[in-house]
This record gives sequence, C-alpha cells and structure tokens, in this order.
Amino acid sequence: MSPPATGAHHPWMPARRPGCRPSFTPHYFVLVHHRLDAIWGSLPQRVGTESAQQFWDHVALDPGRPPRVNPTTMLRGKRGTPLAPGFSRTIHYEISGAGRIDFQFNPYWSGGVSGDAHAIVVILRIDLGSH
Amino acid sequence: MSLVTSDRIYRASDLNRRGREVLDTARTSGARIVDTDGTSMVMVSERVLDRAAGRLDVAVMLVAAMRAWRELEAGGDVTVDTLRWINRLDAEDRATLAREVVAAFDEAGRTANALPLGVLLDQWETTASLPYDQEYLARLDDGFDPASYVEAERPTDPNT
Repeated sequence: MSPPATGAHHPWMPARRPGCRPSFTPHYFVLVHHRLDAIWGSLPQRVGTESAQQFWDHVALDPGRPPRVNPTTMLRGKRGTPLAPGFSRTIHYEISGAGRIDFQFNPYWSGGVSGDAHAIVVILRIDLGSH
Repeated sequence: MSLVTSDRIYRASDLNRRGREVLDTARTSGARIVDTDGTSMVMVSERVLDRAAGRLDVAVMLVAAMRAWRELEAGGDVTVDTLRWINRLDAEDRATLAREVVAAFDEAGRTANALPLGVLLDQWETTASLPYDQEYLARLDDGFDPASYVEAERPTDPNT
C-alpha cells in the first residue's frame, strides 16, 4: 500500500519495530491515532501480550464479527458516529477487566494517493483504566 | 397463559403407578399433578419452560421500555429501575435513543421478534456507561484524516 502524503509524525509508517507476524494474512490495515501511539506501545505491558495480540488479530482479520474471546458492543448515539461515509459505527472492545479499545473500520476506504480501495481499521480511543 | 394444555389432573400416587403416562403427558401437553396436601404442580419439558421464561423476559423488557419512552417523551428522567442508566445520556443522545426505540418497537411488531430491541438497549446501556470523552468526540467530529494516524504494529512480547 502506498502511504499518503506525510506529516510531521510520518503517518501510516510503523511506529516501532515490526512485531512478530501473525499466522494469517491480515485483511485490514490497522491504524492508531497518533496521539494514542504511546499507550498503544504499552499495551502488552498493561494487558498482557496475549490479550494485545488477540485484539490486533481480531481487527486485522475480521473486525465486523464478534471476536472469539472478548466481548464487543457497537456504540450508539454521538459516541458511535462514523468518522466518514463508509466507516462502521464505533465498536467497543473489552480487552481486559478494565481495559477498553474503541475502533471503527472501513472495508473499502479509497482515499489513498493511488485511489484504490483498502480495508482499514482505525483505533480511536484506548482506556486502560476503569470507567 | 398456561403451560398445561391437557385437562387431565394426576394425583401424587400416579407418579409411581403410571409414571410413564405422566411423563408422556408432560412432554406433549404439560401435566398437572395435585400433591397430597392439595398443592397443584405442573410438569413440562425444559424446552417449554425456557421458551415461556424467554417470553416473560421479553414482555418485561417491552413494558419497561415503553414506560421509559413515555417518560423521555415527557422530558423527564427515567424512573424504571432497569433503565435508569438512560439518565446518564445527554439530551441529544436521549432523543436519538427514543427515536431508535420507537423504530425497534415497530420492527418487533412486524416481525414478532423483540430480540433487536434487546440488542439495541444493551448497546445503549454500554454506551451510557462511558464518559463523554471530549477528545474522542472531537476526533469523531474531525472525520478521517490519514495524516493523523500511524500504523499499529502487531504487539510483541516486551520480554523477548
């Protein structure tokens, strides 16, 4: 995939060294808002590597289906508003007892430089405390 | 609504003398058995009991949702115990909830299936449990700008 025009924080470029590869071919390109980059990087320490990888594997493979392990809920009202046409409502993923990750996905995002469609997941909120 | 459709009434002693017949009646139409002290008992299959309990849950949910909807329409707080979480929503979300509940009622009436209404209320209850995080809401308002996102690599074990 060709990355779009770059900004100060090098959008869409890996934020850290590549992780271990999953046992499947990811269908979705997983993105995190740059302001959540640090907390994303701390995810394995905070919730455990297995839980962090289960989340990534779920959204990279089939984010629209209920995951095998942890519960998800589609949010309603203004907190579930799609980012743009083509995006899902926000899905609230319970990654641990008190940890939650909110994301949206778009199977056919076509706003890249080349204009061809990509399946993307965007992580919009990470809350690892209690609410 | 009765779980028993048979007029036959068995006595406690029939459980020993005609146990097979009692079980077959229970299986097909429910069996009414009067104990020695006059207490009327009902024997039905677990499947029938589960369906009846499910219908009762749905009826309770519908009545509660209807009452809550009327309270929302009147502009007040929800007083139904199981739906008090609605009061944590702001006015805009309450209005959206009311519209969606009405649509779900219509759907339930058309399809004789109230499950979507239950799912909708579950989703709203989870939503209501979350804070109105202004940074997150602003992120949604901004729409999708690729320049604001970086790739999220698959997490790795920090000890390796």
